Amino acid sequence: MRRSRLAGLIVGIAALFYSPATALAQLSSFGVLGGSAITNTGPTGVNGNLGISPGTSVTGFPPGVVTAGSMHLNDAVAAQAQSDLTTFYNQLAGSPCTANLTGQDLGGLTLMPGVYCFDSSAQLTGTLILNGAGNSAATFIFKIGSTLTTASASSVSLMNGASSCGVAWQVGSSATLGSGTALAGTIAALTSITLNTGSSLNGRALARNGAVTLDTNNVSFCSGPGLSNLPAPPEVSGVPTMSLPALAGLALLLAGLGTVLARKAQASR
Amino acid sequence: MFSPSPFRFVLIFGGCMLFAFGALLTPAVQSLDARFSSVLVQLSHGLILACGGHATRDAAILRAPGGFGVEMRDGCNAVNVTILLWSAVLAFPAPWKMKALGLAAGSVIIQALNVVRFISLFYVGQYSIPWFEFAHAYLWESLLVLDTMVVFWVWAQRAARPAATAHAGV
Repeated sequence: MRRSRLAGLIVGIAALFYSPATALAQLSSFGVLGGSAITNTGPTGVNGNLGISPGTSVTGFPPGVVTAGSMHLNDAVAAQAQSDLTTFYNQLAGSPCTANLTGQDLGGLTLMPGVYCFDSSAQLTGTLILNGAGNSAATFIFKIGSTLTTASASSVSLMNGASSCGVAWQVGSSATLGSGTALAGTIAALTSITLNTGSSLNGRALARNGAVTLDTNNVSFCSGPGLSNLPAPPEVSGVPTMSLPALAGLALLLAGLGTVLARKAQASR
Repeated sequence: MFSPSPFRFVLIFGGCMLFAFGALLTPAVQSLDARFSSVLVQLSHGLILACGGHATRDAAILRAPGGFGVEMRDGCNAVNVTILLWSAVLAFPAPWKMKALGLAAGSVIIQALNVVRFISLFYVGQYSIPWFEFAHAYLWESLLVLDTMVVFWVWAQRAARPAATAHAGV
């Protein structure tokens, strides 16, 4: 009895350490994360941590301010967050599409929870409505092959329980928010993210390789369950050529065959 | 000229294996190994696109539009199988010209089969995960063992011929 409880405890602790929530915990605390540089102009407010890795260049803070967090310049925390971001980005990229919206402008659409894919670029002009259908844990994932661009004064409106915590934008290259845009959700971009003058992001700006450029913005991430409530995509499977026993078996077979053939050649001498 | 001693074969075969697998553990060779895997994924991706298929590539991951992905991780690029074949070819008593032919042709055949394996698993996985597991764990493993054995056997038969003829003339 005691032993089974102990085993249960060990398994529980192991599961805790390997859960996706823990894997993304470091990343969840970041409002802005860049790969090469973070540049700011004007009185930008970032709620949560601001970090950069592997680059080190952060300019414009102040006048920009970081609240409810601190700055991490290529330290262990930022490096771990970048590693988490790669995991997060790949998870999003692996989510199966529920609809392909290639060629459609997101402005004027009302979308239910799901995974919306764009083979190339995505554009938002006007207002996009996300309807949570009464589920506060509803998730909306946008998989974009190349760029995400929003026109000036565009917005994302959340209704019926939808929360910015459940919105993610996986951008294959760069994201650019036009002046005065009010976007919701976490942007995970492979290259860079630019928030033009006066735009706001109710979520996170996370760039893997490139820069994050800010100009008089407000970036505040949601206080909900963070990134872990996004659906887990199908696993990527590694395909080892051979298991170790098979490899050992092949070595023995080759040794055997080689010995027989070598003996045969010796006999025919 | 070439001593076809079975004992000598086993000794050289084991030595070559130990050396090559040992080298595979060094950071420099591991970096080359990872680059080679990336090239194989690029090649597989290119072949799929050339045949009209759909796939995206992210480093060593090949992903289907539906989300399923296969990754060429460490040990997936058939370098380990190639090392075994190379060790056997180098250990076998044959002229160096024949050995060079065996190393080159054997590598090409094994790597070509591995690319076919990778692409086929990419498609089988999209169709059915149980079939993917079966093909990955049993079918392709058996086929690669068979392929390596046949390649070595065919090469060794040809390689032993001139040596045997030369010795017969003595």
